[in-house]
Amino acid sequence: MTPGLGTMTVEASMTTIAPIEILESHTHAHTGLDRPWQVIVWDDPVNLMNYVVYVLQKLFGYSTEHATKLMLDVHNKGKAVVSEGSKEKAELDVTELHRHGLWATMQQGG
Amino acid sequence: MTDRVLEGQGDGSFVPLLSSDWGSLILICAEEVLGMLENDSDLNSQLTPAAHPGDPEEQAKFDELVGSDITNGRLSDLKALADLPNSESLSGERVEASIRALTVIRLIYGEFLDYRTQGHKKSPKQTGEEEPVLAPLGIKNDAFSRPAPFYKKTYVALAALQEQMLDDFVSSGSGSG
Repeated sequence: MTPGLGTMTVEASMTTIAPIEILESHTHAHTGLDRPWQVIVWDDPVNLMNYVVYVLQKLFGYSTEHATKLMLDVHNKGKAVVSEGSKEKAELDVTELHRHGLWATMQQGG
Repeated sequence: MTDRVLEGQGDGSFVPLLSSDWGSLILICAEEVLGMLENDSDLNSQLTPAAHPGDPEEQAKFDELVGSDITNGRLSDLKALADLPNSESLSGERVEASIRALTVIRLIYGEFLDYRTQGHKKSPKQTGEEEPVLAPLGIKNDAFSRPAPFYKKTYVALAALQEQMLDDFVSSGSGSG
């Protein structure tokens, strides 16, 4: 994840007594533009468990173990974040998940 | 279903091993759902949740950007499935398209059988968050040409078929793309 926003203090040199406060740009602080988008797959009563594992492996290249863990999260907890990234990437991922019939949505992460 | 339905040829292609009964059923279902999707432009967008729940403006952009791709992809998948019974050999891509098409059919039959919405009511989750709400597809029952027991049996049968196709496909080493 992108480093945090706000203030960061560094010492300018070994002889400096007071730290110099460097204010990072607040451009993104209010818009949240740096927060990644999350793609969420929701539990549904139609898709088979092995099919969900197959789709997650195919689309994201996950190992069988990781894809199975995500599938079980979907099944047991009702949902799982299956990918994160830019808005464009998330839209592509959701598109492919919908093409495969999975119930996917996207949201900007907190 | 325990019998294999696909035989990998080692070159990325597959020979379907389906009986004529399965072939007939696949053809009936694929053509029926293909007809529904071709005649109802709203149906496709309602099969899966909105990508941007609660943000109609973003959703409209999303639909404009990729809606037709998703629709055309589903129609293409269903045509691949409809061709399967008469095919002597299938590419891996056609097998995957057929597997996806079985999901589309089950999504629509599940609506007819009220499985789509009742599934969540029967097993409430622990997340505390509101799950995405799917609008009813609005398919009139007279769009389904056969009695309800046919769709109930077929919904289950197609799940078994999809599971076996997927097992055969993945075990051939073609599963993860």
